[in-house]
Amino acid sequence: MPTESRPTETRIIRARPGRSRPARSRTPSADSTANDDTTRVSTVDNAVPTGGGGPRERADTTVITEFVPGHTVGSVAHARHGVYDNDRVEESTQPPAAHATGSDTTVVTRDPVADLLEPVTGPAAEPVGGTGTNRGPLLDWRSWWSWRPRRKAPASRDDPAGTRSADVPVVDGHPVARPVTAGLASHDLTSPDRSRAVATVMAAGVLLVAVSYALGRRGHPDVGTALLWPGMITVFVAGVARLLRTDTSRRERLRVSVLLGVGLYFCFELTQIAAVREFDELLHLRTLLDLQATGGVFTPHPGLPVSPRFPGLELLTNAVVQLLGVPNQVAVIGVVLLARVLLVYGLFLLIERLSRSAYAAGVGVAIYSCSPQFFFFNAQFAYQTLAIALTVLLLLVVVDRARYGRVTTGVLVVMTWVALALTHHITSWIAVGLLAGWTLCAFARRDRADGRVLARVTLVGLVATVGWALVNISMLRDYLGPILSESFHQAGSVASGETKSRKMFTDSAGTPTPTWQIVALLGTTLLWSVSIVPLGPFRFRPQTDGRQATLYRLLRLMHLAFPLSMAGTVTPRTAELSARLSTFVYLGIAAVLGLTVASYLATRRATRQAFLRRLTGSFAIFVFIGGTVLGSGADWSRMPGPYLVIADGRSIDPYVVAATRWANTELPAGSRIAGDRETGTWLMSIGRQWLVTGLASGASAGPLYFSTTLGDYERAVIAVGRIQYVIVDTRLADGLPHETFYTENGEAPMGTRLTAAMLAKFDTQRGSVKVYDNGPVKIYDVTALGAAAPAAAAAASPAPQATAPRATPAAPQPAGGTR
Amino acid sequence: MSAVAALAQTVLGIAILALGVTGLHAILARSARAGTSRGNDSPDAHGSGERDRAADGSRVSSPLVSRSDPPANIAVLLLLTVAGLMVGSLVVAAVGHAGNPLAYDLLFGAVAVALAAVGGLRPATVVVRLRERLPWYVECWRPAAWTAGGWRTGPRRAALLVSVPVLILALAIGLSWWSDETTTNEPVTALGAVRTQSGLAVTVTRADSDSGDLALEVINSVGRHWRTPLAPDRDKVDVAVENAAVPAPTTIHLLAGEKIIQSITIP
Repeated sequence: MPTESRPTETRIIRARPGRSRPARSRTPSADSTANDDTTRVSTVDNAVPTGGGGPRERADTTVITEFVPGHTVGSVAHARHGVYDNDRVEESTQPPAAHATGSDTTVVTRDPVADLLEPVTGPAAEPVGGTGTNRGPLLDWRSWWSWRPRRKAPASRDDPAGTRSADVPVVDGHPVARPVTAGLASHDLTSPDRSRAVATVMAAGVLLVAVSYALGRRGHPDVGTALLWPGMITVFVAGVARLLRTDTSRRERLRVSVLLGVGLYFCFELTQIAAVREFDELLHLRTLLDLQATGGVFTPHPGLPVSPRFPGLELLTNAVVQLLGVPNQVAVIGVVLLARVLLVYGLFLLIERLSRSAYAAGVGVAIYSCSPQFFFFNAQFAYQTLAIALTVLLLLVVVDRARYGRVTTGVLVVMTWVALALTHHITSWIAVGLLAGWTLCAFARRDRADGRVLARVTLVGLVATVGWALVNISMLRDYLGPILSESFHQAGSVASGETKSRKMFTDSAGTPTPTWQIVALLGTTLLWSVSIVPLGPFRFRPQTDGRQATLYRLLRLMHLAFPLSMAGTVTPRTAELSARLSTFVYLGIAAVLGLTVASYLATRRATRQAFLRRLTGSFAIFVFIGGTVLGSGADWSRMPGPYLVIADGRSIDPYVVAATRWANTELPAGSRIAGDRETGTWLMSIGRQWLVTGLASGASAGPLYFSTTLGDYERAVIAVGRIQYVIVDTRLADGLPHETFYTENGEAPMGTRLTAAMLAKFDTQRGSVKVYDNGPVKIYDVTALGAAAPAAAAAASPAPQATAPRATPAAPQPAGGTR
Repeated sequence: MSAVAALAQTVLGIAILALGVTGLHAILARSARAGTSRGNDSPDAHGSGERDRAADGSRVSSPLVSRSDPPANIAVLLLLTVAGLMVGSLVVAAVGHAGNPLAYDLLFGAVAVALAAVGGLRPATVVVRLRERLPWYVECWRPAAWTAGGWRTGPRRAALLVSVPVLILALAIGLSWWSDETTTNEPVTALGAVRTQSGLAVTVTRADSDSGDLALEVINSVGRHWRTPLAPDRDKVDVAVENAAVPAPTTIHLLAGEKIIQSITIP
């Protein structure tokens, strides 16, 4: 480096002890091209505390360490000039002219924890030093309280063995600290990009999962399950192993984060790659098919009346279908994949903006991938999948608004709110709540300018979401009202001791959860609960600074809400709500614990760091299993296999498909049918028939199945529901439903089991005519029964959508109730 | 839609999307650059007080954040693309043409051209860029370059490394697709019938495991029999209205040999 004398400008920034401040090497005005793709930059290297005081001259660095009583540790930051290209810093051999006369050296004195943020801020600043030259003074009795663990200095390509450390002056057997000077190979502090290798390992994991599913479909679900977990863990570990390393570059972290999200998405999607089969997905597929068949929106929906009123997901999917001419299933996979990429990418950037740490962002994404709904529910073709991605991106846009100028930001915000309001009701309301909370935090911080901007953003959201909700208020009331009232009722009953909480760790058919999964589930819950308490590694609560601190504090509050979300699992209805709530609570957990874990790992001693990383990785696998089990339920819900009674995809088999195909071609479109939860929904969706449900038809067909004869009551049900065809799957008599109820909520008293005699009554009853039979699945024409029973209907008035007790839900219960 | 028409639609759709996204990217990049320069020149650019300007300043000078993404980072680009497709699709659906690909082509084609124009994309620029880039790609992929150490460097190696996970993933998807498709759509023996304007439409499907000849037996309300053998490749039999079997109620048996395996009755 040149040693000629030139004007230098040295600033000293003294931070208050106990508060974390960022290193500031230059004034904002000196960075006028900050957002260019390729920009000259001045980056800050972290340095370890220096042991001496007073200014010392080096080649091109002025070092000033300043002693503060009780704070003998200082940090040195050195301005380094380079060319920025996306996320890569390349040193220039000569400082730029502008810097030659400007500030090229900066010294920062900071408090002992000031470096907690910087060491994890990506390739340019993480980890410190290149070799052993960065070792700080060992623990000193005078500064024991301010001791910071040393960080591992990864080998650079130029000096992989760390031989240069021999040049470090040694005093009393310990290396003497000296400031970091930017070497030409400083950007080699990061290890080579392994994202392709990670992708290969993840793909191998996905292949293993595919093999397990193929085995399950061939009648060996147990063998398949034994292979499924290793496959999924391979995908997860391949990503987490790189994200936990301190020497991974930012670009690789981002790639690996996206790969992790995509890999886990495929692990789920391969269960139903040829056709969607999950209950919620079928409901939204019906909306999409209606859109294409009628050419317009807001077509009445028999299963989920609010779905056509929030058609954002289906509109997007239909645009892909029409523009690209691809089949619906391809578009469905593509749109959900896009939503997953947006979610992971947006979450990474959001946490990165808040923490100023790519390391924390990567860890945060890994944590979020352990959330209960990440693997299962938020990978489905359902409106929340897209809405949660839009919510994260909205927060990112608001955080990043300074980058785009007012007009572009305004367009972005308005477009996102419109898209969000069109996509999902509850998520859009929660997004408004988040923005409102953020606004309040800003005003509480007396940042009125920020608060005003946030208030405007919130107002736009409020107008968009509440306005649209008011348009659809009656449907929303009919749909959400019973759910909320039942939740309060059940929670009150359990709290007052009137009823017991639901049976845990078994589904409604009595299938027990394996012990090891229970351990993982409980351990995960315990770990996340403990993470709230500032103990052990969780005592690290690095502060963010500047404007982003307000959002970060809000996310901390969401983190604190975790026990609340778990408390809701005691009753069936509140369990559904808490499962949905976890999607948002985990945003807070990911942001807060991402920074906490990253800071903790990055500040450990090198020798311990590897051990702690492995330990953290082991915990990550544990919580990944626990979260996935909590969100997706019993093994049967993750593994294709032979038919099971009312078990989502496991109930859709060739017999159901054949019956649907026949009904789709031979029955008049829109025929009113009664069917069980799976066959009926499949027929409603793929066959576009009108499934009679309490929600959309004002009459539930459920009670029709629970008697051994077709008496007046059953005739009344048929008449009130104007049911034309009844679908009977005789295998329903094989056992209790795995998904809580046979047809729909309130069909019969809890635990009532269908029998063969109940299902055979349609064969013998006059007026009931079998028009299709493939063995297990039969379709009956009951038009004559309904026509003959108007008087009976008037007399009986069955009020079929009544509130009969429901069956015990599964624990852990797969999502699917509140759609 | 024929295969050729489907392919043309796909190509056209991709072109529209590519043009629109490129134009949008150009607009966002320009806006970001303008925003940045404004932000550094104007004290009110961030609408914040002195403290926040300092905070933002520190953030801007952070080695990681501000320069970590291109000005129009892909998340925002995709966000606008998604929102734009959604709102555009809503417009098309509002006029009742959600099932018409042409409506989408027209609307999004116009929007894409407008975005490209506003973004300053000119055909000449694209041509120049292609002239610059294409020879390089062609050179890289010349067969002569595939020898000896050529694999170790350049795009061939990158393509090879990328293709490995892609191929494995494709294999996984293919395996799942095949097993899912064959399992779910496995043929089953079934019998269905509906009364139509012209008589009866009887549908028969047969499982792969079915052996022997199948026959259809129709019995009318007065007990008259009408039997027809089913050809192996035949899955639907239309019974004309003038047939003696039509008078209701009609019972239909599916026979394997002389054994009834399925039976339904049509009123």
